[in-house]
Amino acid sequence: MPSPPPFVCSACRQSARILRSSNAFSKRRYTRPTFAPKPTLDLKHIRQNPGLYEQNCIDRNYAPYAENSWRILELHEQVVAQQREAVELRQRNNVLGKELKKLDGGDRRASMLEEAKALKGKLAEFEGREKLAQEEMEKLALELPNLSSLHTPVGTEPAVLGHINGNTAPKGKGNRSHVEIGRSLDLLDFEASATTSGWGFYFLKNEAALLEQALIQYALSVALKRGWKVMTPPSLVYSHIASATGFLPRDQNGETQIYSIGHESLVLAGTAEIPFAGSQANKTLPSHSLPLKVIGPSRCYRAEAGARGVDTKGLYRVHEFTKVEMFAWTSPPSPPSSSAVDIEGGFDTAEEEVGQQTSQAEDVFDEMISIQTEILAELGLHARVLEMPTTDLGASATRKVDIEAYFPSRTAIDEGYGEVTSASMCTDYQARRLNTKVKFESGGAKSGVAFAHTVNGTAMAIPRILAALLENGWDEVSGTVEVPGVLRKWMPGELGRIGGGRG
Amino acid sequence: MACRCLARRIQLLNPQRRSYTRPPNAPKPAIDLKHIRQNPGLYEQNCIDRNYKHQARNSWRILELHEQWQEQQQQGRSLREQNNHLRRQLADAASRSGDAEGGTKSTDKKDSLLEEAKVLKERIGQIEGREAAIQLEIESLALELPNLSSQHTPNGEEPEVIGYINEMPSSNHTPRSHVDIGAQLELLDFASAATTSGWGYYFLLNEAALLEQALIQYSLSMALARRWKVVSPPSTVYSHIAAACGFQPRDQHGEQQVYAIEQAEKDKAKPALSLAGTAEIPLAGMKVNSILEETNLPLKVIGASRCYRAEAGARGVDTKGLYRVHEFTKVEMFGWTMPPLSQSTAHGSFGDADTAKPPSTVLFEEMVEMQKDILGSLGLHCRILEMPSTDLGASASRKIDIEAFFPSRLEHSGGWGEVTSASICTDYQSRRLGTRARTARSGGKGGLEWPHTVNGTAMAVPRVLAAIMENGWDEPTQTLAIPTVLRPWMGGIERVKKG
Repeated sequence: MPSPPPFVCSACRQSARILRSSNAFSKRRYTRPTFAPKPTLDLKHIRQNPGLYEQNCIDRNYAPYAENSWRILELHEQVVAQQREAVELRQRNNVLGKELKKLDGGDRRASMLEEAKALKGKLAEFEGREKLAQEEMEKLALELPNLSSLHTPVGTEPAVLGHINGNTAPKGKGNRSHVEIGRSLDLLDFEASATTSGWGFYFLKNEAALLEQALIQYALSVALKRGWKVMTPPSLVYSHIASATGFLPRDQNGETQIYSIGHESLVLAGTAEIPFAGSQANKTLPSHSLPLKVIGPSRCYRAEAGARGVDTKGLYRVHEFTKVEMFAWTSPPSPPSSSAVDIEGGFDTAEEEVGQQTSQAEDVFDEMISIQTEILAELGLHARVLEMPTTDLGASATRKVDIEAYFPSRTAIDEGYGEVTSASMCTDYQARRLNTKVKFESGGAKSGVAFAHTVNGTAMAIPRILAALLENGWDEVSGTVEVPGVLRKWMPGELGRIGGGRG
Repeated sequence: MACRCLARRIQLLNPQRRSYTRPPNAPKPAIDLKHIRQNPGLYEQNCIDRNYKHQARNSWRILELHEQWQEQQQQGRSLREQNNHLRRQLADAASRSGDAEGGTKSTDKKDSLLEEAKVLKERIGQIEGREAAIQLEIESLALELPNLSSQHTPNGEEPEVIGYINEMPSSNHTPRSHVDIGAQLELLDFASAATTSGWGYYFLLNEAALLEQALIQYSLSMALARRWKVVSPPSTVYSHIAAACGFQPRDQHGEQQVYAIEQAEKDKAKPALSLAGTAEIPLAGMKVNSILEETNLPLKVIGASRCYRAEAGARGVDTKGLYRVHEFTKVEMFGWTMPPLSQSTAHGSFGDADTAKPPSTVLFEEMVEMQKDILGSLGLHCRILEMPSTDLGASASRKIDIEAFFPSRLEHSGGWGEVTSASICTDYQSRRLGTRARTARSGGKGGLEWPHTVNGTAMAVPRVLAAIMENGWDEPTQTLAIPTVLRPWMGGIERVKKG
């Protein structure tokens, strides 16, 4: 005779139902390895402001997660109610225990032992349910994107903050695409890469390959002279580090944006932001060492699923490229109340107060934009600076400023503007997930331990800048491309012009 | 469990067996099967010399299979002749069936003829099937064979020292390892990389990060001065392209060498992608299914790329710090040349009086000269080795390695560590990648030959960086000297000191 199925109590069945229904949107159940940093989320703030988090999800186009905060509140209330019951049960258990000591035998003792056993079982059941509920709450909280800053426009429309190199797009640039220029000057080869690797890859040739090196060194020099430290990271990272930085295996649309390595728990980072953020995981930084500002080049890989189209020809959207990235760890702003900073509480109400001194994170954010502006200005490119709207922020950013350069060949698409840099403030979103803390000296204005605030920004994304330089530097008459003055010292022979009677 | 053990053993026994199928748009290899059939003993000995024991009988098997194929061909021919005869008979029967006299007797005859034709057709089909299977197996066996070795290549496991660069450095203090120097001067961070990525990864900090850029720029400038063309290739390549270049996912010992990129469910039908362990792969891949013009040969390209190596099974005390890593920047040289005039000198193994050096050897020697120039000007003490047959891998016919002296590794192999490699691959890669050369001597318009390919390291950043750190360390001042030739790209910094 076959053995009966194992007994599953109704509470456990309900928990299982909860777990199953919340997995409706993510196919792959993601598990964190035991040695990964343990996230510490501000569940109290979520419970106290469920409507805020719901609205935030809607604003950010994270609709599937809009109910998460309410669900967390619900689960918490169940846990609290259960805990109250457990207190009563424990009291009864204590009473029983005392009574049992007095009795020696008999029916009364036997029935009391029965009751005590049942109580013990019930308490164990409660513990199990509580643990599941805690795990579920953490999972729901991890899915929530960061809250949005006051600067961030709600919706899908960015706000123009300013321009670089003139207020309007330059005239007389023609409309030759960098693909054509690249072909005529033997600078780009997409056919070879289609054979070796498929769509979305490319070979840079001759002066284009040299420009790549020059652009990297130039970008590094701009930050170095402002005291930034250079740091070259790996591109292969643990997938849990990518997730903790805000790059989940699947994005809001269920698409995979990250390449995974078979048989390993490694992924290819789409930006140096991931290894940079991960480098300080499980560390406590002394506040006097902050802000810690690093810049470094790395090879970046992006699956860009769902992005292929006419809009993405040539170097405009590629799977693999070199990028120089800036990253900073800053001291969190102090909450207005206490001198002891509480890890559990305190979203940055300090930022909301008008006239408040800017936080360290804001200062670094502004500096990053200043570096980006300097680079694009010196490269002679016309660009516009945008305050990005809520739907564009992704998971980790509270505020994002993009700079879009002008591409003469793309005037039909978005007036020719295409993103070349991005800068994001992530508050403590990443630090809470990577367990990066800041320690304040005792006796100072602040004391205790808090989570760091992280900031990141693009210093140089090679393919698009290269494409912009080719299109904007193209001279139709001579069939040549001018090399921007600032780059010449990084080019062999201080090359000033590409094409036109080269040997 | 038992089945899994057995499967793993089988896989280890046949580490070179292709674990994937070649996608339809992949280049079709064109192996010189005739040469293998005419010299089976040569190929067998070559396999033994190269430690490719499992492939040693392949050439004999190919010969055998070829004979079977010829038999099948013969049978097929005779069957087809019978078929033709039958068809003529059927045609006659058909024309005769109109006669009043024929009746049942001719219909019977026709039926039996049809029956015979059907049987014949089946047998011919079977023979054709067997022929195709034999060809497939022959090709598979041939693809497993490594390249033949050059005359210069010593047999066995011992390399031959053929020269030195610079003098052995003198020092009166205990050598410091680059790991220590890196920690003291805040140049290397392995601990943070262990957190983000695990063993075998690293962050380069401050001057070390700048040195990486300087080393890349310096090696490119050396090549530019010699009129090499600079290329920046992708690191992501189709797995079949890597395999065609001689890079199997697992090495001769069954250890994983290549990182494979996981396919999304919806992309399962697309060809598999991997991370290249060297730019040799994408550079060679540039000319897949292409015809090079003789006037453009030798075609010499150099390019920097991020390289990824699984290096499974390589972890140990011997591999601390930057010495063996999973990810690094390398500048690679690659060239296509005219093949030599005769087949005998193609492999150089039994050439006689061919006085002119093959173009591939000329380019090979140029590469080695450049490597000597670069390493010599960086102030490193090195030795130059003619590598033995067991070290050549699949594609190389000849290989020269240069090893730099690492003071901290004196106890291991006398302190020597490989920093560059240069290989002549004859036509091994071009035959597998469909790269042809149109040459005047082979009949002008129609004449196509297989070019020879040559490759070499211009700069492998981690090891050269480690060598510079260990050799440039000054104990009394506790500082690191930056090689003079690199200073233009280092903003003029001469020494690295703490703080």
